[in-house]
Amino acid sequence: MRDPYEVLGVRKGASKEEIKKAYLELVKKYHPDKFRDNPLRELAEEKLKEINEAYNILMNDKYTEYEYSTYDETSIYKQVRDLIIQGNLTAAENLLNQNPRNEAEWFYLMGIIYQKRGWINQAYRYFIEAYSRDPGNFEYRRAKEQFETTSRNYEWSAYNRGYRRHDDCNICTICQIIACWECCCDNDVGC
Amino acid sequence: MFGYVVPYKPELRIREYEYYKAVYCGICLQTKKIGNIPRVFLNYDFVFLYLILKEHFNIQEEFGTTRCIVHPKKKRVFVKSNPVLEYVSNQMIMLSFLKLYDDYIDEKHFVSLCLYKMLSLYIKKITRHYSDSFNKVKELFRNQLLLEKTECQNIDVVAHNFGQILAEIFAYNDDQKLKEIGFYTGVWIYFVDAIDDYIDDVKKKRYNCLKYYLQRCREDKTLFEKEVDILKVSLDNYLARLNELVKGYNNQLLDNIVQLGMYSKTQEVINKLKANFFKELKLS
Repeated sequence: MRDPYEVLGVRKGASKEEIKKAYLELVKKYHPDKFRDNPLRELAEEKLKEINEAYNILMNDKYTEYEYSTYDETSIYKQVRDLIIQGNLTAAENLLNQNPRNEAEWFYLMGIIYQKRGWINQAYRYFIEAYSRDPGNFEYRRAKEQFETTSRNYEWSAYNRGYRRHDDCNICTICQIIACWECCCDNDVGC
Repeated sequence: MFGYVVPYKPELRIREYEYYKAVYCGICLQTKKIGNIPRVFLNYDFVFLYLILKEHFNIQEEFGTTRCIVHPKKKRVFVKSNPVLEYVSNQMIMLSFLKLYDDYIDEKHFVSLCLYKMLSLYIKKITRHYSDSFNKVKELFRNQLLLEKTECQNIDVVAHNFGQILAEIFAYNDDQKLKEIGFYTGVWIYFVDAIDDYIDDVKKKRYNCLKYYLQRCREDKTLFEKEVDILKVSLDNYLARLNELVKGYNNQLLDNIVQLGMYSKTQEVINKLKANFFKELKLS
């Protein structure tokens, strides 16, 4: 997802009033009523969805707080993040392991390390843990949801290729088939 | 390898299905050149390996027809020998050889020991060409055995070790992309096998890497659902990565295997676990 500040077109750290004002203006601009019978309608709807999402995220107190609270330079998590950026995953993991695992950030960073190694199952478990400890944090939520979206997309591609579950034949389809037969009989075409 | 990597038949074209069978027969006949005994270990996973390698190196195939002992009535189409086919057949023998040893250590089956001894007659002939990769795989197999013996609780450690074994086997000419494909296939196979065997393993008190995660769910249905969801999402993610890699080959049959065959297999084992988890384990 894009940066919510960018979506709403406001500067980082804008006040709630400013965000609200920008949001209302954008909603007016992209309102679906304006695009009735217009080929751009779908595009506008998508845009509106994005705007709504960004607004909800920014109005959540924890997100803005998180953006403001920068790490102090000596913080262990800052060091771990630097190590991850440098690609030194082993050192990052060792450093984390020397510290107690009681904060959401700990689990999040561990998840990142495992994700980079391709240990998907473990990474996903860490992200879930981080998210459950701090559900308001945008970063944790995004990391967790990324896995779920990939899973859904993969399932969707399987579904589109024609894989259907076997329990498709339910009472509804049977009724439909009978109704179709009936039609044929009435017109003296079929049986 | 356990025969989990198969196409989803209802969505297969007839020519694709015929071709698939031809490859299977081709591997079987290729193996016959080395000996008749290794032919017993033939399974569908190796057809997948062949298809990947064939696409990767753009091999032109030739076909022939023959009668064979398993299908005496009708003539069968088969893929004629080529370097990739030879490689696949050799890898199959190598892997079965190591797996039999593993089985013998694990369960002390007399049959496994006999088969192992028989295969060791052939193995020298084969591994001459691939001694490097054979030693690597052997090392990884030992590690796998050690992990299982020490009841490793972290499913990823065990599954990823297995993934590396397959990475080594897929990596014909040490190719990086093939290694990755092998890795994700291996991890997926290990997970699916663990889910599939879970109930059996618990009953027979054998090692299963999921035990640590699932044992605590025996009383708690919501926790169990959560665990299964985590497994499902992770498996889908592994498959999605595999799908990205395989898509580039633009082969309908491979797409069918990765998008439908492996997907429905995942679905199948998870549903089986869900249906039996509380029923069966209460009795034991």
